[in-house]
Amino acid sequence: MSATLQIWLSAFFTIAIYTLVLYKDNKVFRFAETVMIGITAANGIVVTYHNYIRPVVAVDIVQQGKYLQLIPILIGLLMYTRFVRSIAWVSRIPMGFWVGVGAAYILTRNPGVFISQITASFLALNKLNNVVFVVGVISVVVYFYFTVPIRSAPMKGMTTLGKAFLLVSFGATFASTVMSRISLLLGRLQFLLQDWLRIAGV
Amino acid sequence: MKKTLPFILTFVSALTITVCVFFDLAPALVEEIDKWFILSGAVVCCIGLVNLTTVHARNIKRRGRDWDLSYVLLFITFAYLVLGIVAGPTHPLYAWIFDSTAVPLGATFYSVLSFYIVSAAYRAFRAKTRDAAILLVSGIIVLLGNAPIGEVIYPGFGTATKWIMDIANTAAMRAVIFGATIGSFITAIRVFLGIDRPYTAAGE
Amino acid sequence: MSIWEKLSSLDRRYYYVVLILVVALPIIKPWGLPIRVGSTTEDFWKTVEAVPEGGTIALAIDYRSDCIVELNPQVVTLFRQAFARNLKIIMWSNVDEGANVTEPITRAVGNEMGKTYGVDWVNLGYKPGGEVTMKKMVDNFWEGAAYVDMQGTPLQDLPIMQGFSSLRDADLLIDMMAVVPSPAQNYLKMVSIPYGIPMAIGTTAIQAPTEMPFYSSGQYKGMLAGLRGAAEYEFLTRNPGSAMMGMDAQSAAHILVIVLIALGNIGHMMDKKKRAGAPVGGGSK
Repeated sequence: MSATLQIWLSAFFTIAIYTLVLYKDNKVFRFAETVMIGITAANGIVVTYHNYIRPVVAVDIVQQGKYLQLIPILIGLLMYTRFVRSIAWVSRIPMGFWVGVGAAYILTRNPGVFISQITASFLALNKLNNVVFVVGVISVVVYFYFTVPIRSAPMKGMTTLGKAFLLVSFGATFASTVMSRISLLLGRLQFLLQDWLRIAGV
Repeated sequence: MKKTLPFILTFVSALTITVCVFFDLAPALVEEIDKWFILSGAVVCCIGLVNLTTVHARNIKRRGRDWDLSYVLLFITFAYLVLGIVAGPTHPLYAWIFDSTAVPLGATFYSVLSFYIVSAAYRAFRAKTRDAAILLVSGIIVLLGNAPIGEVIYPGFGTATKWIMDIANTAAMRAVIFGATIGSFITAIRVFLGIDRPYTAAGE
Repeated sequence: MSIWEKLSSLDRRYYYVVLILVVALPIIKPWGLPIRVGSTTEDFWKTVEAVPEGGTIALAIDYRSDCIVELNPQVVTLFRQAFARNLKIIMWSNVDEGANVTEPITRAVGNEMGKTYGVDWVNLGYKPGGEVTMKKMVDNFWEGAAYVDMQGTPLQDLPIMQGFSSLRDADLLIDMMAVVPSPAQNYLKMVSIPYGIPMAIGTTAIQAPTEMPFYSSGQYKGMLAGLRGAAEYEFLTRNPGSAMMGMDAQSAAHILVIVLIALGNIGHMMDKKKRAGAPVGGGSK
């Protein structure tokens, strides 16, 4: 299919979205929004079917005769009962199964990450940065301690320090967010200027 | 039965996997449960489509807001779905349509936020309190340190940014991870014991 | 009306036009600002360099079309570095659009470098199931990958898949991700920590601060953070691309944001002073 047509279509959709901010909410923007919802909704189903469901059914059930695999298919199909009010409670059955498996993997796998993070926090206090780091971790943990009221002056000092560390961290997150969003705009402008209008170098 | 049966499934699946993984028992059983989890989840892929169709069909029937676009949405969704199911996701036409629509639209949608950030930068990002000042100063240092121009203006911005990210941010985030992990652990135990039943809202 | 009040009441679309101009001009006429490579990017590069020649990288794609600007350059540069060292890449996606958005760019790099699909790299497509699929890929990779690649070709017909039956057979696991909850942390907990598989990540600038603790603890051997990380990686591997070209525009936009924040705060302070100085109940001025 034509690469030129693709570029023009992409440019049309890009500008259609930007009409929301540069002009106001309008039919062209809502049309672009509609196309996006439709394409992505359909794509999710297509890739799931072709990349997982169809080959698993073909190999496991049809070729290898593992008919037990029909049970999880039935369990999954029970989710669709939520659209029929009289039997909507049946959709709790697959959710119960998924929640149980999820809880099991939190219990069995999360400690590995947790313990690794704790051991990584025990730094040798022979450098100023290490001291600042350990004090930072402890003070933020104290800040999140809500079980009993904090009344003593040293503990209040620790919570204030913890809040300061958190604010610095949020400042870094804010800057990273700005950077990320600007990058997205930059990418679209690169496309419009380089690929579509061809007024910038490639 | 409506509340007990799902809880029984939760308890049995969680207990089986937990015991088998901790004591290294019956790995084949755990692998089968994993397979069931993945396959049952994959089958639910159409639930969004059913909801979308119901909502927009109702909109068309009632001649609600943008009911004409609801027609367009349903047509595009089902036409693309049929094309994809019949031809496959790597078919040239399917891929071409995806690259011409979903890719630029997805990329552009989130870039709109950059405009709001810029207008908020002048109107809303005020250092009215000491806390806000700390946040803004830290943010400005990292903004300058992350862009090449910051290090051209003053090389210290790069060093300061590295310190903020490696020491201050990592310390704070690590403590947040501790809290979140303990929270998730406790939630998992509560779900395991049936104290929390997040699925009970379904079907009500 | 003071200048500050005028700026505050200005239609925000003027700000948007200024932003577009500030970002567009350096794209049209680049400044050529130098790029300094950070430790996270350097460690990522070194980790890939440390994979023995002919080894295999398992690459998980966990982002959608909204993050292609930051992550596509990372993927392209990774492919270039890997193929230059004759490494093989087995890739798949845990999110529905991931395989679709990376297929054209990876194929372009593969063809350009004379590599053969199915021998040097493979795209297995979307594999649902989240963290359970990640574990499944360690226990039985072919089952976790549903026996076929993105095009439906059976894995037994692909030479690259021969002898690769588990993620443990990979020399390095890389996750290029931009979704929440973090799939990289799930790979850590389900694959990397329990089975000792080395891991590195590429992510967006937004998620980099939350992933830093895992890089700092050595659990991620390297990390590419956002467009800046991609630009540093391109610079390190001497493969200039869209990320490096975007850094000048990124710099200009950052300066604009800082100037606006500064002007906003100055205006606020001037306004506060004016109100503090104004007599009660109005005045003759």
